[in-house]
Amino acid sequence: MLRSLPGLLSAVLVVAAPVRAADFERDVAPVVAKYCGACHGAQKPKGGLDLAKYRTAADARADKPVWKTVAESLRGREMPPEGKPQPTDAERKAVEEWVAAALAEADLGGARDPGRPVLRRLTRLEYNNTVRDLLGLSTDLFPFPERLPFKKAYFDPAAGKLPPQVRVDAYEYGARIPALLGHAGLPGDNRAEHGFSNRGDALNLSPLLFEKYLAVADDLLAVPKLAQAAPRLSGLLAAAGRPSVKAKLAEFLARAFRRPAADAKVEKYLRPYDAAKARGATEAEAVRESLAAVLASPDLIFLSEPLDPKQGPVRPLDGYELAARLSYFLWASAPDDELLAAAKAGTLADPAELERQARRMLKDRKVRELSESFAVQWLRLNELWSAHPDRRFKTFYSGPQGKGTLHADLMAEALLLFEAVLVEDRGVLDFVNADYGYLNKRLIAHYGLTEQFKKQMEDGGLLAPDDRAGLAVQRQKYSTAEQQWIRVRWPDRTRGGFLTCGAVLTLTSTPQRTSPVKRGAWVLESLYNRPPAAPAVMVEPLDEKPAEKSGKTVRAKLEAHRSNPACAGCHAKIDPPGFALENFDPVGGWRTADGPLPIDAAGVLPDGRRFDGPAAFKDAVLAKKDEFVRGFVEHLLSYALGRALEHYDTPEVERIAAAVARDGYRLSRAVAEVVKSYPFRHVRNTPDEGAKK
Amino acid sequence: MTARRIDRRTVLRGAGVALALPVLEAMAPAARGAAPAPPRRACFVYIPNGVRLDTWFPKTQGPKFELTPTLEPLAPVRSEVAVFGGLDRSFVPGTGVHAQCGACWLTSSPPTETKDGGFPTNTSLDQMIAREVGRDTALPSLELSCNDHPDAKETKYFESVAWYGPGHAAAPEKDPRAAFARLFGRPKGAAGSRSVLDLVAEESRGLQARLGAADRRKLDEYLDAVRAAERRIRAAERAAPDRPTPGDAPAAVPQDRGAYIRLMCDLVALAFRTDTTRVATLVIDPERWDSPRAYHGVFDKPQNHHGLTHTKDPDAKDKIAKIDRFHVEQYAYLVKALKAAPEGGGSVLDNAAVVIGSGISDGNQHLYSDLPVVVAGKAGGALKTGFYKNYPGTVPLANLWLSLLRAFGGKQPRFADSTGTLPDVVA
Repeated sequence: MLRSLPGLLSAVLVVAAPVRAADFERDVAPVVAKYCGACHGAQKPKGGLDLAKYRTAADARADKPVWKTVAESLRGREMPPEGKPQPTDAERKAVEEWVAAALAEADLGGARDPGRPVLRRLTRLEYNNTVRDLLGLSTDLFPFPERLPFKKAYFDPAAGKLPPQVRVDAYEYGARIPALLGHAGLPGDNRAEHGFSNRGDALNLSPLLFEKYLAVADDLLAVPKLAQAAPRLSGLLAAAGRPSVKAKLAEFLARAFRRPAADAKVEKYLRPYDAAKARGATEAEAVRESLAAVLASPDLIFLSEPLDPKQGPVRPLDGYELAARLSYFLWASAPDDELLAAAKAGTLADPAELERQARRMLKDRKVRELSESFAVQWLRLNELWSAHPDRRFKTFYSGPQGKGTLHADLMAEALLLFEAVLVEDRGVLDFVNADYGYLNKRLIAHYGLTEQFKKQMEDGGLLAPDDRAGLAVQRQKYSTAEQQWIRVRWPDRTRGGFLTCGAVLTLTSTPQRTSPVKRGAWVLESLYNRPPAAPAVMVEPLDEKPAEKSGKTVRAKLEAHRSNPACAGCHAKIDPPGFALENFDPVGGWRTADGPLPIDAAGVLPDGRRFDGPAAFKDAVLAKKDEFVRGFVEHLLSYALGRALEHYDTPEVERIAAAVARDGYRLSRAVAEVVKSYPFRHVRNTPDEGAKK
Repeated sequence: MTARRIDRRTVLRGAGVALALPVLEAMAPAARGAAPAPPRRACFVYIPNGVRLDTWFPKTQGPKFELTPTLEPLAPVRSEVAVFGGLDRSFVPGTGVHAQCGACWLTSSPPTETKDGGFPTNTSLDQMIAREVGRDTALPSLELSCNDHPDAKETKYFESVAWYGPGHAAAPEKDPRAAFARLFGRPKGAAGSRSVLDLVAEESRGLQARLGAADRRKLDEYLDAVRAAERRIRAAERAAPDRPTPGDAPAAVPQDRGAYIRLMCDLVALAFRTDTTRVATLVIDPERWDSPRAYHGVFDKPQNHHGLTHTKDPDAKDKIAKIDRFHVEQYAYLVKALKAAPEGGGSVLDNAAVVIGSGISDGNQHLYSDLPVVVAGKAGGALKTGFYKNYPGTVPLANLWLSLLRAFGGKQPRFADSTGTLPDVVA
């Protein structure tokens, strides 16, 4: 028992028997001094990390994030570096266990730290979705670029299966997407560094944005036949007389603010109505004044988890707060009626009910946002449209003067993989190594697989004659055949998973060449959630002459670069995954040579895992599945919480990752365990920043 | 109501502001002291779908340039305009071929910097100028469009040339009545009402009291924003009783195409003349607009401007030349109106830069090079006029934009992909 649950139980033991202090001094400090002291001592410590100053357990506890890094470096065999004396397995284990226990300690007045509450402004996507659902619109409220230019008729998560052939209608980026207010909108939100755009600390509210909320409200309320366009508003718009308006407004506020409005609050929101009536406004005009206040209200615009002075330093979230966390996590929108009912009934306090609700929500079409918001940001697919490959990569461009591009096709390929896993509740390991994928005619040609999939394309009608004509060609409208996507079984393991998606390979390349550094950094950040640090020293730019002229491959140029010892440490981690993908050109096409020079896709990871190409690299990743699963869980949990993860989240991440592994790595298990997790259900309840770091 | 009314017929009819001058003189901000330098103003007029190049660009460079058939309406203000040829922009693959013409015409992003999906949009030149000269006016800037087509089929990328920042369009006002109300009326709409602002401010203070320290700071952003909106509305309310309104708002959107565009030009002239704003953008039509449009007095039947640019016959080319000339006529109307408005010993035009141009040159090929652009006015002596200059090779349009930005006090070292200013236009 003790061995199987070291984290949680040792946390209890810490409280019960303070023998751990001796353990640090007996088991940890000597190991660190022996193996790390030469570089990380008090004299000119490498990387500014002085480990000699931690003499007692109390010293170390005061700096837990540092010790989290120490333990991870040991576990990942990154430190001590190759060629230096290595600790024994028992020594490594002792350090890792002490750190794991320290991270799981209940150091917030006897409770574990669930993280501070995050006051979080709705993102543009969330505001759109919230108001859309609040009013019952059949379209978006306004157009905005995070809404990807796809019609998603194929996306039906309740079916439990993505069909073997789907039709994807892509709009030209910037084309009109159906929206109630064609020209209204809000400014966009920047994503947090190494994080998602929904992170509370990264979201601002400017005077201009506030005026935009007012303008959106004005535009909305000026829509002719608003009651028809917004069925959920029709009752309120039709209400006449203060008592009737008040009753309808109370219902509306409960949905807008995601919890029932007390009578005093309803009265407050009737003030604009009363003021307008006193001015002689009509009933309809007066109701609109109150509606405008709702649409610009902090209760709508912010997700807040206020302090409760009656409770201790940690409090469980109430049902309405949990309902909001659930719905903004999975739908990027407000809770629906069923969630609000569960919140009212108090059943969400039961983790089993939380899981049941999450599983219900995963079957709703609104879960598309998990693909279009979470996955797009997780994989940095939002940067795809900024990639502008050189014109010599001809298959990327089409149409007159090559003004049509593969951006939308590559995006669809990546989304369809995520959505297949999501809809079919497959294992998240498919993200690394799937033997299937979705392709259309253009991508099949782009990847050079026309011969392999000829029969399947014929059967699916993908080889129908081109039916484009006239202006449609100029606008790069798809022909009917190009809208058809078929599920393929990859002929071999060089393709499959996000690593080998053209979208990822393109967005991590420069216009002229591949960038093993950018690709490697993508792997570290997206797959492992361990983004490399920014370069510490200025480096000479790489010789940009193509291989034909320079006589060197990109890899050879980089290797020369890495001879600089200041660079070698980090690049030993960053570059190898990039080398593994060198068989893919800057737009994701397969290649065996760079100009006249053969590609070398072999490499070795810091812990000694070797590979000789993309398939073997995937094997190397899967040899340590846990590291990938942990990275994925961290991304998912950070997105769900709307905050960066902290050292005290580590035990929960480990717990969730273990549960995911036990359940066949299913995506739904990851979602269920996230929503049942301690930081998802609790919040720090201290008035200052008082929790210990 | 103490507002002095000006008969709208004197303002909005026929020759527009020229007839209304005596009254407008009364409306201009009083007592500006002992003649400090008049404010500088900028207006950008956007025409979509490119132009017919051979009838637009003169052959002779320098001060003796000839007025081509398209530019002929500028004859009365020939010495007040600078005509440019050979200025270039870059298209960035990844969006529709027309989507970057207008949307990125004035933006300060180099083509490789796409922070907005596939678009290199960023704070546009007019908004950067507004930061320099628009702080003291009721409206920092005015955005107008002459497209009131009801189907609203295009996105902001086709309708907006003004951007607050990446992806953040300053949506244009299309209805001259609403534009008039915005310029000269009290702030309108339920959302801006005092009771609404008071309520949401009170609500945020209530929420703030229940938050931890960091969240309280976060919510300050919201309170600051509400206060800023309140300040603007109070300022407008204070100003309103004494402020003359130039007559009643226009009754309707004119059916006549030219009258519609000239009415919007009148509004720009009025806004400048009354110092209600110092920066304006006027979109003649959305980019790629292809609903047939009546050009009264030019054609018997409505014409599809975008369709014509992709029609390969001489008749279509002639029609495009006529549409180009029609647009230049409306621009000339605005330039003449500002020239006729006296200010500080000269004219409003002397202190302004009034630009017309398109984001593509040859509409059929969607060329982003050799763009047509004309600048009228000397921006208070900062700009030179009265010449045609053609730049061989690749010279970024952004070099002209940087020159203009500097003329309005901007200190930026670069604008988008600029490589420097244009000595020919910098006085």
